[in-house]
Amino acid sequence: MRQQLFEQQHRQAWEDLQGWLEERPTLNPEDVPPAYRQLCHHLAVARERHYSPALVERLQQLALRLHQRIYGERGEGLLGALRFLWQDLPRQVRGEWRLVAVSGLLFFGTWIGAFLLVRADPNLVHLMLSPEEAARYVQMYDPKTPVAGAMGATRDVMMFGWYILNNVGIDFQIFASGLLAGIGPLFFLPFNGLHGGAVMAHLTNQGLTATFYGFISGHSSFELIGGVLSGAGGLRMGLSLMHPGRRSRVAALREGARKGARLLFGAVVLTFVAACFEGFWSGNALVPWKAKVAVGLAFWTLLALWLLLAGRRGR
Amino acid sequence: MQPIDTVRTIETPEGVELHLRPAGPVVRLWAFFVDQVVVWMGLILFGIGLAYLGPLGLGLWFILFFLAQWLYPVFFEVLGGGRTLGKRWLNLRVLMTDGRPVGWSPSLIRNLLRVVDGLPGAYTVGLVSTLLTRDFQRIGDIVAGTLVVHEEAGVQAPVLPLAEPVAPTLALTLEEQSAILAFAERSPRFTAARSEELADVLSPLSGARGAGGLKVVLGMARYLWGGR
Repeated sequence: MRQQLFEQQHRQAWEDLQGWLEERPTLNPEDVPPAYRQLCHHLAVARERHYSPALVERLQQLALRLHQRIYGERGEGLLGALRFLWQDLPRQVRGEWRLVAVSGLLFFGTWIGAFLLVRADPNLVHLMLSPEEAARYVQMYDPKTPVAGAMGATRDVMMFGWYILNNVGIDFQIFASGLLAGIGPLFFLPFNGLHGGAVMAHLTNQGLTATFYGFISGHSSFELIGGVLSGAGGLRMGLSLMHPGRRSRVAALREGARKGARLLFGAVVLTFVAACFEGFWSGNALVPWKAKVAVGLAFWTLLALWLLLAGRRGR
Repeated sequence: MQPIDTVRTIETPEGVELHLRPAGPVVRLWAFFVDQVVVWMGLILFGIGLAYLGPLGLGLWFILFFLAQWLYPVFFEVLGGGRTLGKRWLNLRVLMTDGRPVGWSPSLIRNLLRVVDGLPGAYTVGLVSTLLTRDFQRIGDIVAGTLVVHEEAGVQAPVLPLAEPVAPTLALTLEEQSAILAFAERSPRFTAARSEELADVLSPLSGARGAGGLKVVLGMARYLWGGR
């Protein structure tokens, strides 16, 4: 068949598809897939018969745009995100409990270790903190220092913004550096654990229990579990790179990154919640510190129950 | 014969092959540069405005900075059809390696892994990776399964210049026919002198040179296309 005749016969079908792409529908939605398959056939025929390159190129671009439109992923929206948080994330955490446990051990293990050591011998704090740093922490939680909440709502917003920028940024960094054979989480988690444990023990030694525990307890569960999850996500990626199993290294890495990114997404949500509490609740001077600790413990319990029990039923 | 080219071919479930043209490091660097300029201009302008709000403004600016630093490319790539502003400027687009549009998860992965591509500074790892891989992928692209392609120019119906159809005097192979058609379709974009010069190459076939030869070659194209 000559090209002219071919073009004449099918021009209308191509223009209909083009119109569908440009949101001026001349086709019913149910007619699009058959028309698209027809177009693919035309493209193959045009190539085989060596019709003019401009025609082939035109058909191939039309097919490419339709391919992208037809096979594009559609986001699941807010409902999908909520279902992910309620079902899929806890399931995945339980499914990858070994990695989460390693990540948790790296973080909480070093945290508790540093805490016990510095409690036993207060001078050991200077292994982790310079004297100036230690003094700054003491000054920060001194009851005579005005706490964040006492300085008005605008300062709360400022601290909230800072916590988002800093803490979620740290989550991202821990995750991404996991690609380097897991070195990122293996370094950042113990480092932050040692630092946190040393500070906690030092302030306890100085007798600043009320201000310190009052401040950290509200958001601690969200922030620390968020850190552990981003670490587990990074380890997932690094482990897939080093130990691909039966798949090719690239395929294993892609799969690992996708799974890790899901853990990271959970971590980001938790860290965001932590920043909300840290900015607007933790510094609030009106609530007695014991009440704040009680609330903090309640959150720890709820988060643990969520990770252990949510999404066990139904699919 | 397979020409040496950077074209990446994907096969669709319908059994046809589609071609993508991956974009190299230099043009991507320009796109990155444009993005950085846009982002920093925005941050500075908002910063000046928010400075009047005191600590409240500073907090909002921190959030803006966070979004610009980590999530600006993700939002634009997923909601803007694979294009940040810089990529739009330079006609680039991010796609999955199988030609589909990029989704939230791959886009987040490829952009967070800029941390790794940026090591040990000045995007060295990313640059080396784009130079070593076939489709110019940086580490983030490899892990997310994405690639950056040149946007094709708009889809236009080909137009053959008008000429009296002439049957070729020799039997032409399919490739030769296709070459004559390609020449005829492109000839409106050449100067007359250049068209004639190129048509002169076919003077053994057309039996004429200069304007006369061009007319015969365009006529053959018309004939091959199906004009009578």
